[in-house]
Amino acid sequence: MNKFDVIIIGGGHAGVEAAYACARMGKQSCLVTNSKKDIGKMSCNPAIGGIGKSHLVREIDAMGGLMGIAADHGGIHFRVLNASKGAAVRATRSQSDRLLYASKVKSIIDSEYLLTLIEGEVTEIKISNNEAQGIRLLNGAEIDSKKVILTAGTFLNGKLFTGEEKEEGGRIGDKPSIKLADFLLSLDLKSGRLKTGTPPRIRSSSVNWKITKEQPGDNPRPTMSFITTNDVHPKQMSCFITRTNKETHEIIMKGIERSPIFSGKIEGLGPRYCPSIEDKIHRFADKESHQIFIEPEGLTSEEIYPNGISTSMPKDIQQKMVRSIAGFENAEITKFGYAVEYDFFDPRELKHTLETKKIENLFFAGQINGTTGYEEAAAQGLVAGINASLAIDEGSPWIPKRDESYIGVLVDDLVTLGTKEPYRMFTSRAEYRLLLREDNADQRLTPLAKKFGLICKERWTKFNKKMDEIGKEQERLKNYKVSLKQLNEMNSNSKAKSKSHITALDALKRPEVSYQKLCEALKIKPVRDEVAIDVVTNKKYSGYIERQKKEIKKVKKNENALIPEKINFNDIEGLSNESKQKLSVVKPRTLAHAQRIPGLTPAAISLLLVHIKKREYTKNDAL
Amino acid sequence: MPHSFSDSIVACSSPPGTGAISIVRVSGKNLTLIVKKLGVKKIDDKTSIVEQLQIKKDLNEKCVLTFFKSPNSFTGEDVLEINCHGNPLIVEMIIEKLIKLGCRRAEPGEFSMRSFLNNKISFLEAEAIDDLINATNQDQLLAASKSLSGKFEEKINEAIEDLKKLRIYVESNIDFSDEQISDDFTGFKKDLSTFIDNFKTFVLDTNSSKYLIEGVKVGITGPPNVGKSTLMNILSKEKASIVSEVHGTTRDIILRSCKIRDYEFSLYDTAGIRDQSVDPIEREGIEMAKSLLDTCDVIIEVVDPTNEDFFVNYKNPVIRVRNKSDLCNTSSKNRIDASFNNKKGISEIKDALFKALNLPLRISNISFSARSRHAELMNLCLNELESAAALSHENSLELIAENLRRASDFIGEIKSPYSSDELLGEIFSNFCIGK
Repeated sequence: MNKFDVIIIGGGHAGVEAAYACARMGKQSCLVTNSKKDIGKMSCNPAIGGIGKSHLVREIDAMGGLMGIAADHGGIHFRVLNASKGAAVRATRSQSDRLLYASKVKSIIDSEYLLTLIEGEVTEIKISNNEAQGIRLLNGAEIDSKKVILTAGTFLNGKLFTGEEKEEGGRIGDKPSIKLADFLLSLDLKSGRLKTGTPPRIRSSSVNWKITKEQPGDNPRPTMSFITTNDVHPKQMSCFITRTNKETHEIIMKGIERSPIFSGKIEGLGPRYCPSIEDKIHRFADKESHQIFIEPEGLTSEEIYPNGISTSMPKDIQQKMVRSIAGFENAEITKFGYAVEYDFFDPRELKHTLETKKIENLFFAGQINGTTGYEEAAAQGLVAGINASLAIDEGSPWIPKRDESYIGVLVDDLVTLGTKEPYRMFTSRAEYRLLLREDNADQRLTPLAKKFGLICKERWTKFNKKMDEIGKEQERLKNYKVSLKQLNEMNSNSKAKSKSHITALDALKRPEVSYQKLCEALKIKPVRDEVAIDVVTNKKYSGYIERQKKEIKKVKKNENALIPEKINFNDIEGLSNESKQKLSVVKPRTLAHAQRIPGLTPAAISLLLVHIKKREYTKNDAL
Repeated sequence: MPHSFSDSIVACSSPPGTGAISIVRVSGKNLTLIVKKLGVKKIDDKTSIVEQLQIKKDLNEKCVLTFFKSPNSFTGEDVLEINCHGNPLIVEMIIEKLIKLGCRRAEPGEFSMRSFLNNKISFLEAEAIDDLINATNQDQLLAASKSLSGKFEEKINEAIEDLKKLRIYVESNIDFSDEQISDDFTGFKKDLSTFIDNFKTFVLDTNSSKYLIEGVKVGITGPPNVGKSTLMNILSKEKASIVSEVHGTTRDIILRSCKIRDYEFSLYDTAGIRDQSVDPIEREGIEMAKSLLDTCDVIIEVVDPTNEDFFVNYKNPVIRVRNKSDLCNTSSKNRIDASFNNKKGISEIKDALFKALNLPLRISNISFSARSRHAELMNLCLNELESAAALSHENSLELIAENLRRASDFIGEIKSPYSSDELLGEIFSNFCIGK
């Protein structure tokens, strides 16, 4: 019988990232998928990145993950969102050629000699004494392992809805994992239903492009990964924009009771932030038009993806609705939109390592934890993979921190807050947003990745070179003086009072002074963008960064106040049953963690604190 | 902070000392047994009975007992109030009797704390109760009572809501910039400045209310022998410090309180600041004076025509006065001309005090009671709002967002002080025992 270090169930974005991390950390890993050809498949829209999400991609990349590299190899359109705003909220978004993306993922996975790919349907996780020990396949075969990572995506009890039609499936054309779902439900883990949806796909030759608005990619083209250059990008394509109109909305409103969401057929809650078009029209009744991004599916694809009209309306209504939109008058729908409803497990039953609290050695990552999006899934895959590997080596776990990465925010939010709707990353979820920039993800994480053995030599060399250049540029700018006159020429409101000269580095602090202007004024050669942005942003944000660091220090005190693992929250005197229940589900590790549990009042926190103090007190007394 | 909330606590809830009656208050999850052991056969919720309690072997005390059944009591627990004759000996005997029956002496503020922990009162209400009890004049009483009825909390909630709306604009323009939610930056700036204007008024009201409740701390300073003590005596209308002609007479910091136009003022007459002093005792006095001035709400710096060049920078607002102006012919450029001996310039100084503190002359429009804790947090909040307003360009939206996030943290802390380092227990322990 085979024995692996880690088995990863599922070949989606969480699964591949988890498997790749385990293999890099020297673990004999086995990825089991229903279908090898679907490894790294983009089930929803063909895009990677976007606001909040690109931060995750950069972090995964900084840890040596594959998503950013695959996005560069598959990327046919790149754009920086929020480009006019500060560095912390700038976000790169890429459109991918689905086939190129998946094939890059596949080739990276294939190149890992420690990683075995098996095709088959997992029906059971072997569990003994509350410890996962391997898996059982539909054909009866068993595979043993030290750790199991489950990344089943939307396949658990997946149901697809198009109007009154309903079928079982995890994705259009794919059967769901019902046996595994039933098995998991027997484990007494808290579960719920969520839904997500996709829009109809349209044949690109049937679109009247002339009346849509073209949106070309950025020039120069950014990359998603720190170690690729945009030379690897394939041929680029444009996106196009059109809009819904009054007629579209009328068509939808007329048929709304035939939508499975409104007829009550779907119980699961969908993402508020990525609503179906019927949801949008229902909720924002006063809005007369919604924007649609027409995204190319790929260089060789005949289909386009109309982002913004995800729907589960009946086919006849979808047809009418699509044809009411400018540019789609003669549109031919190649696949109809549908909603998928699936099981997810309450992520509050997970540790920060993504190991389940109830079953040792079993990790959950990706959409089964209630998230939406490739990037969120991949980030969890990475966390689970790393922690499964660290646990085998008996190393201390990696608990990504909220002030260190969006990955940390994601994991902490999930295990602390749980989720009622599919969880999507936003920059506003990160209280230390100014510290967590896309461009400094490598500084925040690559040294750690190096420690874990996750990155190649090439990345480490490149990273050190960048750090070196940043240091040198700061030194260089410190040695240049900028006069008041020069500042004024740069349009700066001359606020310099006492000092007639300031250093070039300090000049960057002024909002009106850009790096480019500064270099021109001083007649010096600018350094490359990647280096300049760090020097400039650290200077521009300096006051804010100092304060955030102080805040982190303050919180750290409570972050270090550990709650004894054996505490019984039901024993806390005076605590309401509701608070007891909340604490018992989340089982916070630290006082700071407990403070983040929603709905826990300051009074409840005080009672918890008193309880812990009292325990210590009586313990000391006994000594 | 107490180590338990499940036991029964007891304390004298009326002022210490003798009086007609005293009140002993008991609170606990279930007082049935204790009531029974006291020898009371039956007492109903919200009723009072007269009962002979045996408090010592040969001593019976006739008391009035009032019982409040949980959860309809101040603390949310069973509460028993025992009215007895106002003799400290009797009170102590009753308390000791109750301790024998299983009660524990309450810690300062513990009744209020239990009330808070049982969600009977909010934190702000707890503070208002404390203010109400400690009110020494009608205006304070009125303000505290308005706070207790929720006036202050209401205003805080309003501000929190308004701030939330501003944050929604900023955050959605960062996170949904591609989805055309709204991008009316000018409109946002206008809303922000309207909010700041309203909030400033609220901050002013809070400050005035804080001064009403806590009084104003005034430091009087300046070179030696310019008449600081005289000024203090005039303001406090009594002879407090020794007034003499010898330099450095006022070595210690002397405190007098007085009332100016409805407000309580504490006046600190500090050692004359004279850096060249060699006397170690006097030097120590000067150090003390300097650190005291940092804690004053406002400073009056007094000089006379012989040392007009005296000038010190202070952290806090300062009123600069030239005494003995009658001894020279010129008028001072940037100081209030005064002559304390002739009572000249006094009302100007008083006006300046009110102006420096932004105090309304009449208290009648103060609609809630506030404390330094509130005022400090609100000023921090205002600073953040003003920093946000100063960022005039949309490309700093993430910095505006950061300022607003901090602003909302500060104002949120007024309602739940837990987020700060302070422990709740420390805050409640400032209350008296029996509250």
